[in-house]
Amino acid sequence: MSFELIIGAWVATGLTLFIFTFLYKDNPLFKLAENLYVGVSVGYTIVKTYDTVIVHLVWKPIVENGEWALLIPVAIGMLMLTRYVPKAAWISRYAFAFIVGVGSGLAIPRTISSFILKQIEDTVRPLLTLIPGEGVTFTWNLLNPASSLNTIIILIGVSSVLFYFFFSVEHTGPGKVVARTGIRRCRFGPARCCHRHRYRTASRYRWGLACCCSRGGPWPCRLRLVYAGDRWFLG
Amino acid sequence: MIFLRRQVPLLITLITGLVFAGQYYVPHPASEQMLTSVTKWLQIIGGFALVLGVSSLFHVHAIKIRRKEAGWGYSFVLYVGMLGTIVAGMWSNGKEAVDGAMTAFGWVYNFMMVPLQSTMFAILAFFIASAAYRSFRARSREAAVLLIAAVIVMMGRVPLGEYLIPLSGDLSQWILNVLNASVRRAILIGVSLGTVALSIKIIFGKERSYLGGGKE
Repeated sequence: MSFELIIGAWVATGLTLFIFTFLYKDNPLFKLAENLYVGVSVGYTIVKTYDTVIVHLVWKPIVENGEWALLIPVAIGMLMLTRYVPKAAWISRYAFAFIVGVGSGLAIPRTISSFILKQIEDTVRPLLTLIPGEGVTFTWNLLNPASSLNTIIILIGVSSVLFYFFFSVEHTGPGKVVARTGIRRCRFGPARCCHRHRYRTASRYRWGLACCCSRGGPWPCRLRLVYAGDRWFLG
Repeated sequence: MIFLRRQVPLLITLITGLVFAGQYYVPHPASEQMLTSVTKWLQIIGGFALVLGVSSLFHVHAIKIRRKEAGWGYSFVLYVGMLGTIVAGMWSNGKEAVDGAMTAFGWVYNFMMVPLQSTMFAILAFFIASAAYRSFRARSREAAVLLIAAVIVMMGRVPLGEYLIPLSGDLSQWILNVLNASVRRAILIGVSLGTVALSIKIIFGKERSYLGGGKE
């Protein structure tokens, strides 16, 4: 085994152990490894960006293929650097406007097609098998995600969770039942965020505010909280 | 002047936004070519954005070192790591290996960056376990449901759990494929609607925070 491999193995092992020391508590060895990690990562990114962007996307195409149009994005990129000149900093807005505009424009149709319509299609299409016709059967097999029963459970889940996040109407009466179904369903999903979204967006709800304040949420608590029976009230 | 500072950027956003939203619905080679070109353009412009970020990092740590603030030694380590990697990278022409032989840049990547990155992510497992312990305390009905679902899924995902509770395998599959899938689907739809709404607001100039503060 070569010398650099042996040294490399020792360095890798040492740095790994340095990071793991954080499990005991914050300490200088961890901080050293942490800062080294940031430094090496930034250095690596700089080199790779230089190699990919400057060399392969700009220099070679312009010099070897004469793609002079690539000077346009270079110019737009240069506009960003006007941030360093306070009097000319506003020029950098042109570059940001271009990036944000293109990004937004690209995002709209692709998001609608790939996520919204596709997800709705996957939720609704299996229901077509339930339409009365010749030989339609209702399948009860829970283990098959495509069974009729599971299809209905998924539809109820999607609808109720969507309603839970819909704050334009107050969640009272039947709406409350649907929203409660949604939050209960969230417990099976990636959704510890549910509460957070709720109190951030619909802070007018009392329990939402209580939740925010009692957990040291983003806003300072100016209201007194009273716990009565099974829930918090604002006093 | 206000036209140049405020209206022109908004106009650029409006035009580019509408053009590239419409591009999706134009199945013509020229349209495809435009998309390919702009993707390359965004990569190039992104490279310049890196300059802003890196210079900011340089500046913050340079100040710490110059003023000898608490922990300035770590900033020095960061500098050494960054400059060392850049020198090694330039020396190796940005290649980790040449003809199968590892370069200095490859050494830094394989023996410093990869282990540091992997271990940083590895310790997340401990934090997740700690967070899960706090979340799973059954203080309400919802928390109890969360706890039960988590226990079933954990049991169903490991051979020992499935051996102890044979039903847990099928049950955890059902939770993941039906209950979890429906929640994920709804959240994805919600997030996507939010993305579309935000994009429309940006294109039509309702959302302008990306222009930054400062004078008009």
